[in-house]
Amino acid sequence: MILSVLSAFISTIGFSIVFHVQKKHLLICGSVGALGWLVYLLINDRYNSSVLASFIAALLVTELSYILAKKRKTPITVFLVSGIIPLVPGLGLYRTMATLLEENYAAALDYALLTFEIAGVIAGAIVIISLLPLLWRKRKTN
Amino acid sequence: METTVCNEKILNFAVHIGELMLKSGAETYRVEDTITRILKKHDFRSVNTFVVPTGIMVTVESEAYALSTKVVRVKNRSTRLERIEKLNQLSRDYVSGLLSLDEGIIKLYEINHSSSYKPHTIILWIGISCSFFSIMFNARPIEFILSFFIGLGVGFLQYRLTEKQIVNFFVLFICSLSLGFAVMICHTLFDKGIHIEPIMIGCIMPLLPGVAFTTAIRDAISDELLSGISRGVEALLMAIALAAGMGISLSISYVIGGLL
Repeated sequence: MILSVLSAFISTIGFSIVFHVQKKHLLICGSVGALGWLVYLLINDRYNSSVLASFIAALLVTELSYILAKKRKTPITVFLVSGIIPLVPGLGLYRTMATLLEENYAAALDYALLTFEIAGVIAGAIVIISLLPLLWRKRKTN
Repeated sequence: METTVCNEKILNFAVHIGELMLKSGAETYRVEDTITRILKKHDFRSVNTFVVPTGIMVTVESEAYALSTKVVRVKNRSTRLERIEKLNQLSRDYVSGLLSLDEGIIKLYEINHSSSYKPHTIILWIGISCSFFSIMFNARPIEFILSFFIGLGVGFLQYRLTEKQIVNFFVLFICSLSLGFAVMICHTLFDKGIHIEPIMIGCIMPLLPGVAFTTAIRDAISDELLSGISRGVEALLMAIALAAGMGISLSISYVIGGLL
């Protein structure tokens, strides 16, 4: 598992370079990605549900990138994209295709649904974290 | 007459910043926000901005009711986060009055012609991240090494095809097609002694529409429905192109070699 988190760190840095992130942000981008993946692994081990794990990990990554973006005065995209990348359901996409080719349609439907669920849950996490501060602000002004 | 020239200069500056941001893959709401802020700094009677992922339209009305409009069609979008960051800083400095208009134009030119990472560095890092991604999906050392080289190949292919300015979906399709064939050839060469799943997933990861996906969500929740929907469909089409490429190459391998 340590190896897995370490490789998440390195591959997230690789991604950030592909997206032309400035050098001073690279290590932080890597840490955000690795932390997201660590949470994903822990929850997936404990509760055996990759959807729940993706949701919590995406929540954490989004909140973290909001804080970092404010602190380092950077567009939030820099941290958000690199943090979300390890959680993107590439496994589901591949398994859907592979089972479809084996003409195992029941399993293919399962994996397709799982892929969509994970994508939707990550989207939901980003929405929740982005919109919660607005609620807070309204309560303050009233 | 003097004022119109000046207005048009300001308008040009603001729209150029927006254009460059959109080309670097910024969210639509950020582009709109930046242009509006820069123009609001001057005393215009009204400022209207309309941005979609493929174009920018801005109209300003001066105190003397003189209208100036600029429409820009944006092509060749790519992801360059460092440019978005620099442009953000530039617009912030300009609005707070740290930079004059002429200094801003010079700075904009500098950002437009700056380069960050060299192509071969990027291709090398695509290979590295592919191989480490395969470890995240339980790869053994042999698969780690293989996915490094296949990732390098895919990265090189993607770079070459993007240079020729082919539509993004087709580039992804060709990349995942050749990725499938490469994995199939390795599988045959190593006499079925490798798992293809970690290699496939590791190498498909750099091609997945992660950026389009996050940008689509961030656009949709900031009330940019048009851009949110179009970027969401873009992400879906990219995923379908990848799946189709993988599917075709894998099914050919089933028919010819009876692999897996």
